[in-house]
Amino acid sequence: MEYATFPIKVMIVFVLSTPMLSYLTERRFKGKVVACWCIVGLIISLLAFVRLIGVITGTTFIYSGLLVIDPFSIFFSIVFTLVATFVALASYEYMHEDPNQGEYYTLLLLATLGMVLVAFSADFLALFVALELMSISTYILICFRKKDPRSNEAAIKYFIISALGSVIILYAISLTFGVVGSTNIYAIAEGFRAGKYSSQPLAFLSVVLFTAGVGLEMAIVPFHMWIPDAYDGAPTTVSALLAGGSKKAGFAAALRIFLIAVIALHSNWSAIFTVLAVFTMTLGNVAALAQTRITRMLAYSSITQAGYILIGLATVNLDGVTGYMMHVLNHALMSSTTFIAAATASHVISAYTLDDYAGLAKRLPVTAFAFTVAMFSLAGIPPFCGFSSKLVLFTAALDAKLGWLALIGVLNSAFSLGYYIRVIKCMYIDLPKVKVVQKVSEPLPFKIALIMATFLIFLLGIYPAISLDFARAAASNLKI
Amino acid sequence: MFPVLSTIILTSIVGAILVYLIARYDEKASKVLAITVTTITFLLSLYLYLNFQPGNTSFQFVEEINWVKAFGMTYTLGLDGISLPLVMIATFLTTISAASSWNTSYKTGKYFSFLLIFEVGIVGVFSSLNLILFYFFWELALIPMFFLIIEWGGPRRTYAAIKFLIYTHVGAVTMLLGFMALYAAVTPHTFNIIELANANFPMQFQLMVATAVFFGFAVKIPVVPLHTWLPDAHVEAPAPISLILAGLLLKMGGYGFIRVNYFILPEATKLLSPIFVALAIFSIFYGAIVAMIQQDLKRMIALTSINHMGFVLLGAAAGNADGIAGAVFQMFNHGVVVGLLFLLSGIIHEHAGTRTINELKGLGVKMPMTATLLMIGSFASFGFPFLNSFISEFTVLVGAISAYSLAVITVLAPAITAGYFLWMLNRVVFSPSEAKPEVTVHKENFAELLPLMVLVIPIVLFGTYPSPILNVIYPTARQIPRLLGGG
Repeated sequence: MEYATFPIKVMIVFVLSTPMLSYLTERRFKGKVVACWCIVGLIISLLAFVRLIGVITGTTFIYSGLLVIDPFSIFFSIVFTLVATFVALASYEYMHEDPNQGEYYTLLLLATLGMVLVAFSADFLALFVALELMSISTYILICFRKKDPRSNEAAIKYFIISALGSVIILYAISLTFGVVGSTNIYAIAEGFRAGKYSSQPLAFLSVVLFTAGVGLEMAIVPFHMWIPDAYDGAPTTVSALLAGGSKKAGFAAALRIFLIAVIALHSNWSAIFTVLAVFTMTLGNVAALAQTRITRMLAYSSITQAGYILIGLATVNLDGVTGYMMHVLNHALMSSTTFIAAATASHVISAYTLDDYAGLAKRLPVTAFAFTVAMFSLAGIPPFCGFSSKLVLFTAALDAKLGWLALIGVLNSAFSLGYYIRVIKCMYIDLPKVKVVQKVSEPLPFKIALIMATFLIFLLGIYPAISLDFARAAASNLKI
Repeated sequence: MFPVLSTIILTSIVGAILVYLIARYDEKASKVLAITVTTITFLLSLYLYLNFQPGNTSFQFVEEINWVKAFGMTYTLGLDGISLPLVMIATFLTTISAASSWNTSYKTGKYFSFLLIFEVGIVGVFSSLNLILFYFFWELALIPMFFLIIEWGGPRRTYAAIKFLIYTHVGAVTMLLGFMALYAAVTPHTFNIIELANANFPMQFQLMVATAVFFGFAVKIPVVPLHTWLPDAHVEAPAPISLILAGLLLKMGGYGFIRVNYFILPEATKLLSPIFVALAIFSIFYGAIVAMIQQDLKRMIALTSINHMGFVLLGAAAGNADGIAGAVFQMFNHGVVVGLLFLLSGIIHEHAGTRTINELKGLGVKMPMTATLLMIGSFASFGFPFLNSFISEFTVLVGAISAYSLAVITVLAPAITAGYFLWMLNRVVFSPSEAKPEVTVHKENFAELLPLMVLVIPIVLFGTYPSPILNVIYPTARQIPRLLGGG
C-alpha cells in the first residue's frame, strides 16, 4: 500500500523544490519556470491519483494510523489536485506580472498538499495539522496583492474566522480525547459504537463544536459571513482555489468526522443538517440575487451550493453520501471554472461588475462560453454535471422521506437560474457600455484551463457514471 | 433494426454543429444545410410512419442503451400511437420553420443551430421512454428557445425570454421532483416509463406526484393561471420561432400529461380529472374571450393557442378513447394551423409595417395570396368543417361530453372563436382599402409564401380524410381507459 502515498511524496518534492528553483532561476524567466514546474508537479500527482481509481479498495491505515488510504481519500485528492491544476494554469497568466511568483506557487502547492492530507487523515491530530497547513498557506495567498486594501481586508477576515475555527476544532478534539482517550477517528468510532462511554453530553458538545469548526471552513449558514469578502478581495485565481479546493477540504473533513464518529453515537443528526441545508441554500440564493459584483455573486452562489451538498449529510444514506461526493467534485469544477472566467475578465478587460460584463461574449468568446456552461451547470440544467449530482442528492432526500427538503432544493435550484441568467443575458445580449471595443485576445493558459474544465463539466454531465460509480464505491467503503 | 429515432436525433445534432461552423464562411450554404437536415429528419419520420404497425399497442422502434445503470438511467427511445404523430409534426414544423427563416441575416449560424438543437430536444421528448432522458430533452428544448427569443426577438424580447425561462424552468424542476419521487418509491429503483407504468403506487403518493408533474405540464400547455408567459414569448419571438413555440413547445405539456399522468399515475389522474376538466374549460373560454379584444394580430393568434390547448387538456382529462385521440389529433392540427397563422402575421408585419388589426385594411386586394391563406388559417382555427381542427375538436367534445355532461358548454367556445376570427377577417381582408397613408403595403412574393402553402396541405388533407392519423392514434388511445380500470 506504500505506492498509494506516491502522489503525496511527489507533491512534497515539488513543494520543496519550487522555492529552490525560484531562487536559482534568472529573474526574467522566474515566473514562467516556476509556474511550469508547479503545473508539472500538480499534473503528475493528479495522474498518479487518477491511476489509483479502482486499484485502492478497502481501508488501509499507514504511518501508525495517522493516515488512511481508501477510495474516499483518493476521490477527494483528485478533486483538490484537479482544481489546483486549473488554478495554476490560470495563474500562469493572471500572476505573470507579480514579482513574487516563486512564493505564490510554493504556497499554492503547499495549500493543495494540506487539502490532500485532510482527505487522507484518519487521526484528529493529522487532520488538524493538515487543515492548518492548508489555511495558513491560503491566508498568505489571499493577501498576495499586499498593496491592495481589499486583498488585505479579505485575508484578515479569513484569518480571524479560520483561526477561530481551528481553535474550536482543537477544543472539540480535546473534549473527544477526554471522553474516549484517543485521537484516532476510527478508534473513537469504535469506542462510541461499543457504547462504553457514558458521558454522552460531552460527546454531544464535541460534535456541536466540530460542526461549528468545520462549518466555518465549509461556509454553511450561519458561519458564512467571511466568504463574500474573502472571495471578492482575494486575487480571483486564489478565490477559485478557495471555492473549489479549501472549502471542499472542509467537506471532506466533515464527511469523515460525521460519518465515522457521529453515526456511531446513534443520535439523530439529520434534523440539524436539514435545517442547516435549508438555511444555507436559501440565504445564499437570496443574497446572490442582490449582488452586482460578479465575484461576490459567485461567492454567494457557492454558499448555496454548499447547502445542496449538506442534503447528503441530512439523508444519511448511501445515495446521499454518493451525491454529496459527486456534488463536491462537480461544484469544485464549476466554481473553479466560474472564478477562472471571472479572473480572465478582470485580467484582460478589467471587468468586475455586471455592467462591465455587458457584451463580454463578443470580446472574450471562450470565457463567456465557459462561464455560461458553468452557470447553467450550477443551476442544475442538463446535460451538465451540476444536474447529475443534484439529481442524486434530491433523489436521496426523497428516499430518506425528506420530500420537503428535496422540494426546497429544487425550488432553490430553479430560483438560482434567475441570477445566473442575468449574467448570461449581460454577456450575450447587452451591448458594451464603452464605445470603443478594442479587439482583445484571450491568453492561452486561461483558454486551456477553461476549455478543459468546460469539457469535464459536459463529460460528467452526459456520462455521470464516471463520478457516480467512483463516489458510490468510496461511500460504501465508509460503511454507513 | 435500423435505429431511426437515434438517427433523427443524431442528424440534428451533427447538423447543428455543421451549420454553426459553415455559417462562418458561407451563410447561404448553412441555411441550405439547415433546411436539408430538417428535411432529412422529416423524411425519416415519414419512414417511421410507413413502418409503424397501428394494431400493435406496445412501443415500437424501441432502442435501449445502458447509460448510467447504477442510477436507473437508460437511453431508451420508442414510439406508440400517441407519440408518432407528434414526432412527425415536430420534424415537419421544424422544416417549415427553417425554410421560412430564409431571410434571417443576423447571426445566421447560431440561429439555425439553435433551431436544430431545439429539434433534438422536441423529438427526444416525444420519443424517450426514460424519465431522466425525457427531462434531459425537455431542458434541451428550453435553452435554445430562450436564446432564440432573446437574441432574435422583438423590442421586449429580454423581458419575454426571461419570463418564459423562469416559468417553464420552475415548472420543469417541479416535474423533475415528481420523477425523482417515482424513482425513489419503486423497487427496484428505475426511471423507465414502461416499468413505472406497471408499478402500483399508493393513492396518496400518486396524488402528490400527479400534482407535481401536472404543474410542470400545465405551465407548458399552458393552463390558465400559469399562462402569462405565453403571450409575451409568442409575440416577441420572430414568426418562425413563434411557429415552433406554439406548434411544438406547447405540445410537450400535452404529451407529457398523457404519457406520465395517465400511463404512470392513472388512479390519481382519474380522481383529479374533474379539476383538470374545469381548468380546461376555463382556459378555453379565457383564451377565446381575451383573444377577441386584442388589437395586435400576433397577440390574438398567441391567445387562441390557450383556447386550442385547452381542448387538448379537455380531451386528455376526459380519459376515454375519443377524448385522448382527439387531444392528440388536436395537438397535431393546432401545430399546423397556428404555425400557418404565425407565419402569416410575420409576413403581414413585414409587408404592411404593422400588425394592428384596425390599421390593416383591404389586404384582400393588396396581398391576395396572403389574404387567402389567412382565411384558410382562420377558418381552420375556429373549426370550420372540412378543415382539420374541426375533426379534432369534434372528437374531443364527443369524448368530453360522454365523460362529463357539463362539458357541453364548451360547444359555445368555437362560436366565440369563429366570431372574433370573422371579425378580424372582416377588418383586415374585406374592408375597403382606405388605409392610412403611412401604411404602405409591399408586394408579396411567391417564394416566401411557399412554406405556408405547404402547411395548407395537411390542413385540407386531414380535414377531409383524417383516418391516416386517427388510425395510428386510436389503438393506443383505447389502452388508456383500460388503465383507468374502465371499459
